[in-house]
Amino acid sequence: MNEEEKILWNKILNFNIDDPDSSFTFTDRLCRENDWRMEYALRTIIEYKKFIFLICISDSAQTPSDQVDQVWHLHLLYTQSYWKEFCKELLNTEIHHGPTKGWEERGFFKDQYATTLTYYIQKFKEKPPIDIWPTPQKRISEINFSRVNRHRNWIIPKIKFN
Amino acid sequence: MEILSKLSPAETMLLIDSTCRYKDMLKFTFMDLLLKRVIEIKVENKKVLARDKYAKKVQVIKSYNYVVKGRNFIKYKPKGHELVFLSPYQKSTSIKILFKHLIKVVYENSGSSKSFKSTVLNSINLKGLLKVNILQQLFGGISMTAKGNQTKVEILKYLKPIDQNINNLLKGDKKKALELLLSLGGNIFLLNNLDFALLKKIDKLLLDEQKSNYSESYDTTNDWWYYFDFYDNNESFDFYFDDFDSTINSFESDYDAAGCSSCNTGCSSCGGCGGCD
Repeated sequence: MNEEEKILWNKILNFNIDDPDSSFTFTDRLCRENDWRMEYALRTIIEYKKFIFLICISDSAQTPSDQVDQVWHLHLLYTQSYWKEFCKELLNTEIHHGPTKGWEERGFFKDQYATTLTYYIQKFKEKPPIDIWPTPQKRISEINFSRVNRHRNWIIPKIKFN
Repeated sequence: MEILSKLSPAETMLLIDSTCRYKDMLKFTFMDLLLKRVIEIKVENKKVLARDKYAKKVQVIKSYNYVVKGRNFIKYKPKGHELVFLSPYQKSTSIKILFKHLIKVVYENSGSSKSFKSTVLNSINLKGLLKVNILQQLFGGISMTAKGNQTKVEILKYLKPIDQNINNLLKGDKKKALELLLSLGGNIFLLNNLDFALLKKIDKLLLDEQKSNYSESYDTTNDWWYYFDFYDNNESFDFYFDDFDSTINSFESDYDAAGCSSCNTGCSSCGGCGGCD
């Protein structure tokens, strides 16, 4: 990271995504909607900030892990925080989210995800945590998510044989 | 008392009373880690919009507490039960956590009273002092060995007069008071009567002198003063203890809140869209 990038990273890192006065904060919601533990959610928010940093300093598009993408989706819902405080006031740029156009882009996004992982290592001088940034293969294969009404349904994990 | 300077507050509590409150064990573990500067509280001021008495929106500055890695985080070797606080900082080096979120992390990581006490029980410092039989493994409970009982009596005998006289000593014989406090290690939080505001009366020179005396006689990295950099000119000892009482109170209230909101039922304000502004 050069000096300019370090300044930008610190600005992004210090951005408070949570409204501390809320009794149900952004992170609380992230935990509830994804069934994550608080520690995992907080770590994933840091990884989201790293991802945004990579977007800001890169000329090419970047692909997040699904976990990081979930933070991004939720942040996009907090329009005041995302568009005004984060993009306009802090980053001075608009960062748009581009959902995939279909299965035909799967290979392209897999490669782009792998490039993002390499770029991450290059900039942060550390490997991305595997529990938040899985391998490109896993990233592309584990994408079957649904919204489930937990008042009416039980969620039972599949048995793993390996 | 040498054993006390080796025991963390949670270990001492379990030894004195195995039915002690889980919340208190967590609270004093947190305070001990703060005291040793393994973690630190960082206060951030933020401009926020609030309503005045005429319901008009006005901008006010509010302070919020975040918990970050402390200056001694890297050199500190955490005990098993302390990891419930420290694991997010080990996994993510640049993380800063809103105080109330850290309490939720702790609440989740510690699991339950039984599992947290079981982690504390596995500490090397308590080896041979406490035991759990098969029935207690199933239904809960901890027994003491004869050696544990003896140690408990000794600790209580040592702590009681200190607790009764510490505030008078801090006003009168500061040197003696400090000597006693240093001998307790992180267990100073177990003194019910200790007024942290009075610790301001201890000056830096006296502290430095005591530190050099104790460095020769003790060989433990559990003592809070071991981690305290007395030679840092920017450090103000009185400021250091300033907010401990309020932090204890915040821990109490945020812990109770974490216990409520971590359930999955949610309240009406949790779901859906909050509307626009």
